[in-house]
Amino acid sequence: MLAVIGKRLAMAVPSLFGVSIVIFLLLNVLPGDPLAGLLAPDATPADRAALAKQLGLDAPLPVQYVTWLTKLAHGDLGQSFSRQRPVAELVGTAFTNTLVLALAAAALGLTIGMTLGIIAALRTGSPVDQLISILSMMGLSVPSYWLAVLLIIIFSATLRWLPSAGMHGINGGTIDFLKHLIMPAIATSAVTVGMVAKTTRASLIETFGHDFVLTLRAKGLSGWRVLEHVVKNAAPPIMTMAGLQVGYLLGGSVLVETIFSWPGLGQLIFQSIQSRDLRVTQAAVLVIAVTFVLTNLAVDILQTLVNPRLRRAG
Amino acid sequence: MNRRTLLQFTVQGAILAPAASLLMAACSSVASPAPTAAPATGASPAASPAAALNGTGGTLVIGMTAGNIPYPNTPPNEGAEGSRFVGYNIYDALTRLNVEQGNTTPVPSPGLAESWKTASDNLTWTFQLRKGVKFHDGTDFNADAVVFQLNRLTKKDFAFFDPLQAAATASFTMMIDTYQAVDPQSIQIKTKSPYSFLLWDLLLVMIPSPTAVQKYGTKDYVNHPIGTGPFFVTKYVDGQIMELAPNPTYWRGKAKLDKMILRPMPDPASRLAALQSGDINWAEVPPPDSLAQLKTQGYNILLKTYPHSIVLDYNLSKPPFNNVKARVALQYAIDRNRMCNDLLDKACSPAYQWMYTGHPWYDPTVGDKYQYNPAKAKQLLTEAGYPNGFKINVAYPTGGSGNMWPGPMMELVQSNFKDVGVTMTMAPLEWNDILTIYRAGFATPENQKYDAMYFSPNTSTPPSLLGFATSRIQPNGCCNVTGYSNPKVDALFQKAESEFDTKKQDALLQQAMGLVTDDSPVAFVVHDLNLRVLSPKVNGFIQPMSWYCDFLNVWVSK
Repeated sequence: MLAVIGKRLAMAVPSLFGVSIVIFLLLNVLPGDPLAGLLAPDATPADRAALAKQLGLDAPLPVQYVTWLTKLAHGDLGQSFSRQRPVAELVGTAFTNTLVLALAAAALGLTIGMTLGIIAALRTGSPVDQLISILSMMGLSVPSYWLAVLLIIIFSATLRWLPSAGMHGINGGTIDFLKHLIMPAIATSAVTVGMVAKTTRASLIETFGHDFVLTLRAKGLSGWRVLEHVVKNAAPPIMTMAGLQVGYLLGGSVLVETIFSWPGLGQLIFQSIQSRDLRVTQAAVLVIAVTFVLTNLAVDILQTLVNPRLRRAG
Repeated sequence: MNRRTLLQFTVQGAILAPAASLLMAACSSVASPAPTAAPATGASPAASPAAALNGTGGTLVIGMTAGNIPYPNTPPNEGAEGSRFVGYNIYDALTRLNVEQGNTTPVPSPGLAESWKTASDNLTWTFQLRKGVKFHDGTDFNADAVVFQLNRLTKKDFAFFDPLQAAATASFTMMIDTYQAVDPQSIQIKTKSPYSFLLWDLLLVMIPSPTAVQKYGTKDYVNHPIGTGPFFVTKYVDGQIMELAPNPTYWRGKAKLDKMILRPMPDPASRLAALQSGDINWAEVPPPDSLAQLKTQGYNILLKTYPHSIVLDYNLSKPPFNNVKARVALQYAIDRNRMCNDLLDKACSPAYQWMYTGHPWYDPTVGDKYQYNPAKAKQLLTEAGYPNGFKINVAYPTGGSGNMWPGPMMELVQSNFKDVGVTMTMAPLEWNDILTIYRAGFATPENQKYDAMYFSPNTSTPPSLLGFATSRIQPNGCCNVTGYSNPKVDALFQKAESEFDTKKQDALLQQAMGLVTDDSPVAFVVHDLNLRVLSPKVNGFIQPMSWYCDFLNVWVSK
């Protein structure tokens, strides 16, 4: 098992390298200037050159990349010049905030999605099944930013039940935090609900058709016990989908985070690209890439635990 | 443990884990410091009667258009919005704009310098510094503090030289040749040539506590900002919030507020919702189509003329806009009244010159001649040699603080231009890209594909007019993006720069801007009116004729 994990992690390293090179090239190829927002209104080209030299941005691109990589190897992510604080601090805080939101959205999305999917699979063809199909499609199709604004209009501006933005209110506290969390979590989880519901339904229906289900029923097992077996066997594609969803959620949703002023990774990346802050963008994207790799690895391990056939093959 | 038990354990764990981590995260959030002051007021816009004009206290919660909290350095980032909400609350400069009144356009007035005089050489300025002023950390403000900051901004070999702050203030220190402390209460600054605009430049040289800068160093100072300003920072979380409390010994008097809170809210719909839900009681630039609703709900809509315009910078280096007749023609093609009255719900006023009507640099002899007249526009285009119009490619920003609403405004201009035969392609760019073009100028190869660019110039200082000077054409200077060059205008600017009588200076600048209006290197679109909406519980605020604000007399009723 450990060997498998080690091998998987080792295989991820070239991908991470590739990601970092692509980001580096993209940000340097994009029009715009990392120093544009830092200069005085009428700063001359000489002023700009002086600042570029100070920040090491006048070196050739390969040199800049190698410098960055060397520092990364020593655990130094550098200083963000657009925010004047260490990159590690910025990315760490943003990632934690996104983690909270992602886990909340995942909890909502997976729970509701799986429940709906199971109900739909048990009532195939019925009006309930059709309603759930419609809801799943809506979850997948409705833009998250539209849903976010709608939620704010209803629950903040009109009903005044929930705060419209931020992570914490003036008074702080757990209930206050949960009140700030619920709408962004709902807006972010809609796609997850849709994907998971559809996958769960499809996988369960397919598994219900297997011979072993007939065998179990013939043996006299109750409906719930049969369901338990079916769920176990139907789990792999659902878990893969859930893993992908969690990985995607951990990347942060720029739109939802911007609308709710939720200071997460999506918003950080968006703003750092806008200001051409290469160091922050690099670090943030690498964090997402690593998280994605680890999440998928975790799902694969979980798959092996759930499905012994994979273990023998692996 | 057998396989079955292990499996049950794992599946149960996988289900419980998200729930548990959610709970853990919620619990850990309690660790973040919860502010202890009174909650933000201003939720329901009850029509409170003309309350006692001399109230105090309350918490002002501002929803800014900035995407992040401006970092509290000298100056802050996030552009002029940073200086407005953070810079001038925490810091002072030698001069300040008298923004506590709303009747006249603010001018450089005594700040940390009580008075000043120039020597007969017109190069040497001596500033008498205000006595008894202390930084928030209790240390004295004096001439050494000013010298320290100027070293920090201009002397590369200074131990506390800050390259980022230096770059951000380069325009404002570039005319300073030498400086020295004469005595603790006076400082001498010598300019490179006679330069009467120095007082305007000094507005943006904010003074931090040297003790704090030395103690925390360049990298950490931003987490421990200390100035002499009306407020000091009590809480600062990057990306989330800044809380400010009044400086009890501020030299203009203690601010009335108990607390000021700044929140970044880049999305206009969110700002509107936050105002209506009571999360904030001061909203910058809500969507203009919400104004009618906000008015009926009892909110105070603030609009005021001030020096800030929306223009289209023309690329004068190639056809069609190397032709003055073509440029002037399009001045008659823009339906500015429709833009302000119909599109933007009166959140702007028509612009017929760089400055608004009545400003000292607005030329009344040229007047508001560019009234909407599509027939005249077509006629002038024909005279210019374009009877069938032409095609142009115009860049515009998709966002950016102070840019008003570029998308819809550009669409209206596009339709206006189409009516006179000009086909305008719109090229949306990020604000960063627009700034980059602005600094490089149109004449560079990569910017030649643009015929014009939407821009929102600050027009409040004499140096801001110098974008029309030949000396500012890139790369020799910055930032004459259009490439406009008129020796008469240059001569007037040079004269104004060394004219120390304000009235005479204004007259020279007025003349220069009149010529610029005739030459039309830019299309004048509208003047911004600084839209913001306040809860009726916010009292005491006077909207000045300036981008900047004074919060000293603001208070919030319960």
